[in-house]
Amino acid sequence: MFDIRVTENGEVTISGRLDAAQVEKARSILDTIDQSCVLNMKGLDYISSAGLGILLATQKRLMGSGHKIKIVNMSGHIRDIFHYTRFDTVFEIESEPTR
Amino acid sequence: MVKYNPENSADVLICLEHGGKGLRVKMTDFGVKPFDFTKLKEVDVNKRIEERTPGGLGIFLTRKLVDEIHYEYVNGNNVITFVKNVEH
Repeated sequence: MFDIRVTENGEVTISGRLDAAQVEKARSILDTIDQSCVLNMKGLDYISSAGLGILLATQKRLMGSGHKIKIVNMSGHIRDIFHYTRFDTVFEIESEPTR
Repeated sequence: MVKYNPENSADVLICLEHGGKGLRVKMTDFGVKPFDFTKLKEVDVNKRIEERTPGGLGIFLTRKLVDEIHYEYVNGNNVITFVKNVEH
């Protein structure tokens, strides 16, 4: 089950499986972000190309106003996906893989 | 095949076969126009973020993660086969 929410300190947390069926749910939250933010991926098991697309669109929108997403707690599997797609050059990524 | 062909309500057949070198996944989409995704131009992941647009990464990742990809158009059906080798 996919979940996305904004915590009290402004951090965005996502968990579960972010696939094409969940992109609109993700978009509904990400479109409300208008400042630099931390995206906490702890508990995110899977991300599809559609999920990558919404993250890219959000990062590009934020960068247009001088802001950006910083990702923390990325799993080893998703880190591999970010490496293959060169998304590791698009986002600032913190922390070691949690395999 | 599921996401990009919403007009067609026909079932999709997915066959998993384990043997030989590894896992073979064969997917059949019935009653559709030919769509040979293996001939699509590969997305350029080395572009600067300003030049990148969402899309094309699913096919890119598929090519990256599997060992073989085959496409056939048989009797009006798109048939895509992936092979993922497994080390023993």
